[in-house]
Amino acid sequence: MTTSTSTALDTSTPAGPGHPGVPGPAAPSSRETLGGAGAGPDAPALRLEGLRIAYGHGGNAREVVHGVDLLLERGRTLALVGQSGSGKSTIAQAAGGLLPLSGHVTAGTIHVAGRDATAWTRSQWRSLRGTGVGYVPQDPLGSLDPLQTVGRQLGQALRLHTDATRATVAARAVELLEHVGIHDAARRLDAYPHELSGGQLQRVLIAIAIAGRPELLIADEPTSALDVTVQKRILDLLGELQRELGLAVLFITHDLALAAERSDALAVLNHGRLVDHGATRRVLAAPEDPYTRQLFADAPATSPDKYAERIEVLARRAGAGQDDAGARAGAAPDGSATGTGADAAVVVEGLVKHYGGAEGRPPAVDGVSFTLRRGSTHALVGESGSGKTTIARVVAGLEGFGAGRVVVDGRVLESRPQHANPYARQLQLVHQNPLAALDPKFSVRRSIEEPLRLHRTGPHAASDALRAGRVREVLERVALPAEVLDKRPRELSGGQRQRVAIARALVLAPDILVLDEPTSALDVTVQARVVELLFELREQQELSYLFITHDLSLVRQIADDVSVLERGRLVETGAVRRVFEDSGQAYTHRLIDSIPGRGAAAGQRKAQP
Amino acid sequence: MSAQTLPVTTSGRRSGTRIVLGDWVALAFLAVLLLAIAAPSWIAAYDPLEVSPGNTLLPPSPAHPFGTDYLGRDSLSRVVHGTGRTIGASLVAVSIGLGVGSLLGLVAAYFGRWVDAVVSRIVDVLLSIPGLLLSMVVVVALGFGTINAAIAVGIASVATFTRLMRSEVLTVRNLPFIEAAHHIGAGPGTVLFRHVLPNSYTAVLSMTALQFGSSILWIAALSFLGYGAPPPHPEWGLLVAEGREYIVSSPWLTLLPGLVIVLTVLSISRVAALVRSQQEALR
Amino acid sequence: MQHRFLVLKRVGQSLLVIALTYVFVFYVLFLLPGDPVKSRIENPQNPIPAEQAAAILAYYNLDRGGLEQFWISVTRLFQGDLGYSLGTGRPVAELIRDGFAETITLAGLALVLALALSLVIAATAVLAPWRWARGLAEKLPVIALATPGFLVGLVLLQVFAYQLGWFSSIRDEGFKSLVLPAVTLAIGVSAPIAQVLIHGLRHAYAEPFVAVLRAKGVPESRIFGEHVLKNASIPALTLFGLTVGELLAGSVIAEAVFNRSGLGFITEQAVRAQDGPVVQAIVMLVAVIFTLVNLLTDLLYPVIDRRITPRGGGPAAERPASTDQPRGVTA
Repeated sequence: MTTSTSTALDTSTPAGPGHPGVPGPAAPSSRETLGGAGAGPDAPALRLEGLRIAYGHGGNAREVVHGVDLLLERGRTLALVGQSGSGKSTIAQAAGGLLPLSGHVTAGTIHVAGRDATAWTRSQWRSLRGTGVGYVPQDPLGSLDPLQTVGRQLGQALRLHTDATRATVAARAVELLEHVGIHDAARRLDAYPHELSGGQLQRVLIAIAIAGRPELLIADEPTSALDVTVQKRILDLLGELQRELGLAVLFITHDLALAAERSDALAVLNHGRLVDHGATRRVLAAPEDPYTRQLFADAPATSPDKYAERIEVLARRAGAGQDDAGARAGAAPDGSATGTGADAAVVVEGLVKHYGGAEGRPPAVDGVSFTLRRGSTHALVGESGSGKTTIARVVAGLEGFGAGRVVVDGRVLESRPQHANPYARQLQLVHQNPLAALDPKFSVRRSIEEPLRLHRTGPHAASDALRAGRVREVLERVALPAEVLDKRPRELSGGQRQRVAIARALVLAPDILVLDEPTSALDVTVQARVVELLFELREQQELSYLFITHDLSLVRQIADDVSVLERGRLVETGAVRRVFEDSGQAYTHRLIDSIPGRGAAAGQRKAQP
Repeated sequence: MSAQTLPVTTSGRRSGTRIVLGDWVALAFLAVLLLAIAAPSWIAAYDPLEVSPGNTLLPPSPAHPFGTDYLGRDSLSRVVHGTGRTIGASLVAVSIGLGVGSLLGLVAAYFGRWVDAVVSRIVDVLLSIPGLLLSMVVVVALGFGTINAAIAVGIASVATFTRLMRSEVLTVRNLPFIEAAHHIGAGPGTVLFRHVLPNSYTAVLSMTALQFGSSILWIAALSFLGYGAPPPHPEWGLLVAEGREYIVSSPWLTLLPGLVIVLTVLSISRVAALVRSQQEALR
Repeated sequence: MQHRFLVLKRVGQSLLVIALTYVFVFYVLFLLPGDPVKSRIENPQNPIPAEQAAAILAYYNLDRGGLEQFWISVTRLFQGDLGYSLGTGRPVAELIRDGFAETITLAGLALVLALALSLVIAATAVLAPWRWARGLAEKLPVIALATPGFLVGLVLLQVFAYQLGWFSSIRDEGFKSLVLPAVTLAIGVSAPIAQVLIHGLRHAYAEPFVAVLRAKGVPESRIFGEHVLKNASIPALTLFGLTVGELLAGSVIAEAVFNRSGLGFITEQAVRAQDGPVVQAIVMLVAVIFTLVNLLTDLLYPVIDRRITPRGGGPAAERPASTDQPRGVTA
């Protein structure tokens, strides 16, 4: 398996046929010669020409891919970037012969290793399986049959595509698992999928995909369900395997920074159309399309300093009313709270929380201390199982805790909170999933108004007219049109729903918001709008944010202080700049190293002026 | 046997909320049934109890669309006049099941602890006897008759409603928006009545419709076995049983009343599915 | 350790349910005002000789308090004494022994037929290449669920026994007379199984692991047989206990329609005669079988699907809602 001699992508012709927005029906004739090259060793691993894909039939047909041209040379990585609904996964499925029966190619061609696979049936595709095309799926947890052992499912691939026999298959499987970095491989063969972690499962799936030594690997968001440090290790593994086996990789992702870091060529999709396509370096240096530029600006990883000035201004304002005006350097670096004085919105000291009934298990939160300064944004960052959400829920009074002290706005929390929260005016929590957090039967108006009805003594709640006025006022602040008032959550977009949830949190005018991954379910452009809104809200009135996230690049972009958590323990807490530039903790370093596209960001900054 | 089972999912998956031809047919059929209950003589020309020795076992004809039975009674008239009795009995049964069952379920879910434990044991006991047998036990204790059969079927369907109500309330209560309601300061009563129950009733409502269809089958089965209304009162199950003796020579005496039962249950489940899909579209 | 404890707890729970059911049935049948023993003795149309009435009264201790009657009944139960039929005077145990084999044969054949039928219907509804066939296969269970069992039986009898003469309508012709009642029972119980299977197959086909299997190059037939069907059968397994219960209860109607003399027939006669001891014994027998089958399926679950741990007893609250569902929905 040798790497093709032809150089990378067609970097010389970034404006290829069927380019941006021009839904050309088929590729022009200049490409025809290439198309006739047949299944020779020089044929590109994958070529799509004028590809259109629709779901449904007849009058119900809905086209989702509107004429896409892509070229992936042997041994190279092509990253296909797009947000939800861009059609990227549909293209991946079509290229791998995995479209559901309702989906079909309506125009254009798909060539895999020079063979025209456009109209192949599922059984025809089988000739390419394993040895031609491998596939790494998005969700490792659901991608193995839960009823069979890992070894059996890997063995199935080996028996189908190699000369392994019943006798030798186990040894080959062990070999392969070791190859993809699974320790104690022999024992893992007998494990069921639910007994392995997400990262381990993804390694098994990669092993299955490469068992037949394919030439093309289609990786459909292979790491989006994984923690960042695991993501980095999995992508490193894919890179190694690619070099070793001469794989061509079609890498589907929503993460532009990740794509930029891990690819030779980059294709940006927007609503089923290619808007930018070329060598990664070229796209990074000079994005052709406004949409691509927008993506770069919106992704926190590629625009880390977007809010730097506004943070300075806010910090100065917050500091002005207090003793010390040092920007972005409030909390003591050792993590101990500087006191429960007026400068602290939330103080957490030695917080310990066990979940009931789980004796032998380590506590979910184990001795965590930090301080949210008034008027600042404090990020709690960590991977899954770090305890960050548990802390947020304790601070919000949704859950009790075992030991420690939590002070919110000068009030010491009881270790067993009341069912109905009497302190809604002080602090409000914004849930991760607004659709789940809003009553499906309530209109937007009712949802936002409900807190006012429950707290009738407040300044805005005394009469119907006052309440209606307050609802409209808050709606304006979160930049939603009045039309949404009578809609139900299901009828809104994801970004709108989160704005409604924020509006409900703000309606009682609390000083503190606990934001539990408020943007993690949103596309990057929508996320950028919500982050922008959060800044605007702080600029209008003094608000303190406790911001829970797994995304370090977002922390760097928006937070003043950060607490890094690992398995329920505090790794460190301090000003964002200090932690990012000068952390002494190995775990923090690992997290920072896992932020994708740091090179890409640098390239961007150089290219911008 | 279908008499005791309840459709898990009714008429397949509905695509969208459009009202299609089948829905209209079902609605029209139910409208005719309503008419048969309200004004049976208006549809059926004959007295259902009038014996006519000269006209026994006539095949279907324009004069007697469902034929006549062994005593010369008009079969259509007997079906029409039996509608009220059979449907009424089913309504009684469903009301008992819904009333007692959902109250028990609500109490169990709301109070939890030992109340829940006691209710759960009651449900376990009721569910450990297949429905038809359970209603037979009650019939043995209460005696025969339409009302007793209805009570028996009602008691046998209590557990279904208890479980549904309990699990609906518990499920909804664990959803994030309930926590969000507590978080903005709502107390338990407010949350129960403003958030939990409005989000539970759709499921209970569609279960009620399904159970209504099942009750019809169930009561028909009891009356077929002769535990319901005593002859000569017309009741759907009994009509089938009476026609049974003449199945070789006059099959319409069993098949046509049987068909009416099938169409009734199908129409109810169809309309239930329609209502549910409209409800879900609102969410 | 933990595991064994959960299993024991589950077994204990089943025993408790059986005991409570006994209390319930005894109370309903013997202690409610409409006491069958009393009404049997006092029945003016069917007078019983005085000494026989005295014997019945003495046996059932009607003059004693409710708790004492219950205690006597439990004591006799443990001595293997199920009492005497009020209608025929024969020992209840003997009656049940006579009918048991016939009904079990019928229910067993019906179970096999029902499984085959539901599998064919579900596979057609999901896999058939023609739209009309898929639609039809999906409608069939709906229609079956709306059709009373006795009507199914009568139609089968009319068509296959009387018109075509393929099967016998007389009960003593061995297998030939077993087929129609078994099919009658099978059609009824197969409908919910088919519906759960259809749902399960669709759900399993939508799982991402199917795409991985296709990408691996596994033929569609093996994807169905080795992976999708197995995953889809797990929710259907919860219906197993219910199905067995329905088969036993449904035999009352099937045996009535086809004039057979198994447990179902005995039940029907006993209810008609308000023969409390017989009804009690049969209902308890069915409840025990039903509860044990449910116990067995619950214990089998973790063996088939390693993700599941044995269900603990206690309030139903502790059970996962998803596996808790189907039994109740159809009961």
